[in-house]
Amino acid sequence: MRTESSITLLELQEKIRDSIESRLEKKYWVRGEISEISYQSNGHCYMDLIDRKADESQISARCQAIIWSTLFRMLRPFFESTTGQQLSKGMQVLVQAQVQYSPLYGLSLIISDIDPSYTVGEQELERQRTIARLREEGMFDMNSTLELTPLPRNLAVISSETAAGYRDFMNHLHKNDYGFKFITELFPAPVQGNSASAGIIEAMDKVAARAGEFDMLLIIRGGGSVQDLICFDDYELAANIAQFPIPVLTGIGHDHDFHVADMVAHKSVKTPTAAADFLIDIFAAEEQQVAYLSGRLFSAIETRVIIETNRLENYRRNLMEGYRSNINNSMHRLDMLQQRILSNNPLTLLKKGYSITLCNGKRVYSVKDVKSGDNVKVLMDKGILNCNIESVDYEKE
Amino acid sequence: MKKNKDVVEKSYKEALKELEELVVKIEDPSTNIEEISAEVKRALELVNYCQLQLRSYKEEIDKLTKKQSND
Repeated sequence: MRTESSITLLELQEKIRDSIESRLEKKYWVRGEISEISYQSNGHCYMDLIDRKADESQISARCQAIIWSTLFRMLRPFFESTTGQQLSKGMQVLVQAQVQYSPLYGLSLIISDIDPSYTVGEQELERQRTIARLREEGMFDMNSTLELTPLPRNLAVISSETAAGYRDFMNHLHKNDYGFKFITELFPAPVQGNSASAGIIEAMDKVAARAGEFDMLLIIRGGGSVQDLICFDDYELAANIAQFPIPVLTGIGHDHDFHVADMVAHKSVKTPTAAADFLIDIFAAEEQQVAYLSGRLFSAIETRVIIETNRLENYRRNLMEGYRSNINNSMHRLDMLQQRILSNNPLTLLKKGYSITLCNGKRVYSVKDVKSGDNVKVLMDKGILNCNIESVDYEKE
Repeated sequence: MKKNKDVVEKSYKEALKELEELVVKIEDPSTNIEEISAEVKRALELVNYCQLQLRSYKEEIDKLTKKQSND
């Protein structure tokens, strides 16, 4: 029995506590990853912070941490408004903490502050690394160099069937004002959380196996917190998009979100609704172009018809005028001929009391043509006088 | 009537040619006076025929013009 030299568990724990509390500074800024987090109904927030080994495969340190409800009520909205995300599993955090040792609960970190810029900064850093790697590997512009068919209408869609963003997209696309028809096939995948990247890649493999059937792949997801959308900065997903055999259109998140997945896609738009608009606009622009050309065609035909009609009308007018003036000339000519006939007809003169004298059948023009004793015929209106010349009186010259 | 028929059987151009020849003949003082009466008659018939022809052509044009402007 060594009871006199032994101590109770509580005494030991208290020694540990005293030793810890006397040796350590009051507060430390500690970096770590949240591996578990729970919000208690009494308002306290409990989490497990871990460190990983350099290759990230194994955990090298673990510690429980607590944010008491009085502080958490203030810290939580501050953190969320600064980072746009909730404290959640997998997040890198920098916390100010006091080490507390309780004989009953063991070692805990009592968090008194969080630096939100650290969390965002880590992710941004990771994002930049991913972008640099994709560039180095020559994948960054691969998908955008694929030629998009002029009228993409057979569409593979990767989204979550129940997501509001997917419903918005489908409504907007299929109920478009122009009445354009699109054929969409959904390849369901989780579009948020840690498994999202792998799930989307799996769905992409299914689409790729039938790539010939589709003009375009759309990856659709409505807005969410930065943490919700972090999978779209994932290297594996971005690499799959970049190397995808058909053009990829991303419509992820809200206006302020721009992910690595968007950068490597053939085309990225801000929201699922904008993705639908992008497709509708292609058809609308094409329709407008066709309408413009057909308008030009019709006006060209119309102009040509007017020109030809005018030309014909001129021909017709010239023809008619020519014809008319020809006839008028002919009529005038006939009038002249008629005039000549009438004025030269000697029989007309007979009617006026003049007479014509014939001697031996020949017209007598002068008294010198006859002599006394000649028989002459005097032609008068209504008959002939048969006469014998008794004498001829010559005009004195 | 026989002469009229002859006239009708000629074309306008032939009728005009005959008419012109007749006018020259009528104007010629050496033309035998006995022939003139018949020639004048014939010439006037030709004038009449040619005028009728021309009038019918003219009416035809007027009809065509009217039809064209109605179309």
